Amino acid sequence: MSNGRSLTDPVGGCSKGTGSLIAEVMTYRQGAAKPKKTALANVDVAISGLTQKPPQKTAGNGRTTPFSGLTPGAYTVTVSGSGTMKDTYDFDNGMTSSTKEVKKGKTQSYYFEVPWFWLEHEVKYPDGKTFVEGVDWVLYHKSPSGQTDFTQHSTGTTAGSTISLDKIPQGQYKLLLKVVYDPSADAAEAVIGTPITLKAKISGFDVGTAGTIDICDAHAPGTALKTLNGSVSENQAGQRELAISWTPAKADLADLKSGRIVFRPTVQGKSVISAPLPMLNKETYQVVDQDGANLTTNITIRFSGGHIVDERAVNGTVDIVYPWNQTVARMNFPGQNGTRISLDEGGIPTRTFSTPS
Amino acid sequence: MHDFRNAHNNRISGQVLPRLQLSWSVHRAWHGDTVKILVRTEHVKDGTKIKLEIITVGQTIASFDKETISGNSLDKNYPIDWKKTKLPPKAGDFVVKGTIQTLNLTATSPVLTVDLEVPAFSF
Repeated sequence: MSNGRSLTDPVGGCSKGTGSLIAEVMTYRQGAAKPKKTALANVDVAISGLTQKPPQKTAGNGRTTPFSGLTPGAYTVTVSGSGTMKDTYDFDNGMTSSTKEVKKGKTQSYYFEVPWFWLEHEVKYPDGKTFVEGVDWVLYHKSPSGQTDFTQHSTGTTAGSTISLDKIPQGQYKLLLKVVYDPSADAAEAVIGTPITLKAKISGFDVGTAGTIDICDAHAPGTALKTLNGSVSENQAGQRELAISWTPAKADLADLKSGRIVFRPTVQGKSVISAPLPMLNKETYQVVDQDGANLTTNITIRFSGGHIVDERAVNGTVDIVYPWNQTVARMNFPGQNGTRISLDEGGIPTRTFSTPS
Repeated sequence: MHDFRNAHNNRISGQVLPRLQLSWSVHRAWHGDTVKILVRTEHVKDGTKIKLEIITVGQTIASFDKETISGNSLDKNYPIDWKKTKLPPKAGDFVVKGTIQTLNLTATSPVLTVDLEVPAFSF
């Protein structure tokens, strides 16, 4: 024993006519089926009774040195924690105060158990059985003493088992996984010249963290055709997201071979790929007669991939939306039978044809 | 989702959904071309086995069951050589179906249109 006293030698520290007491504090994981108890050091131990003695702290073996020279009588020993100890060990429940009789020539022992707080966390697939490895996490904590916001407690990466944290502050815990998920767009298709908002939900990253959204050919998701820059924000529902408005331009998509894009939101290396989104061209056609006068007429266009557009030109203009990388294969002007049509598509030689008479 | 809470002296059980996406490297090809099957996953462990089936008109014409995911992706070259394969009538649109049995996960790619006939030209 470091203090030279022993619970097995209770009279060792007693002076004639007085008694003494010694306190011992052990700790264990609260709620454990078979708790393994260990000594708890630095616990504040105060006594009250006929003789006043200054408080002590428990040593590494969980014990105080004897409070000696005590006038025989009832003495109450109270144990308490200070600083972080108060938050990580449960001094509020269970026995932290005990009154016993100290007798002349004897050393009375007082024994306490103060459990520690703990938390476990794990990440599994929905089957509830299989651990998911390699997911970065952030653990936040909020103390029960009126703290309103969570503060970061620790970070790590999931492994193939439950992560156990012992001797942690009591309170509420929030586990956020650092992931980018649920990519979505506010339109079912992307159209040249029309703004579209691309977004993904974000977890585990602070508001303001920089992020990107790569626009890729659906058939080449590894190569970005265009990269949009943004940052993590929080929407009205409190959901963090990376949302960027994009107005597709033909120049951005020069290497888009297929008619569909996917987009890849990324925050600090965490990314997700969206489902394919049709990419559509949008062009304004001018429809004029041979004298240059604007026409108001119905127009039917069949494109090279089989897409058919039925629109009406009003005062010589009509917006035609059609799949990316398709060209006009056939055109008809119902109501303009027997008309000779010139088609100037810009960039390719003008084509001329006639509607049936 | 991805925000899991509990008080001290408890266990927080987080959950993530694995995800599987498949596509072809091109949307149109000719017999004899080599195309790529592109597999992208989320939260799938390296070494996880995936079965790939090439399907047309409801019939599986080729199958690979020894492929594995690495870095949440798999790019597999696939030479289109069906000379010895009995293709069903009206074959022309092909999808690749991926199955990760251990995760009960299945996905199907968009269509790859393959020109099976020798082009006929007229002058």
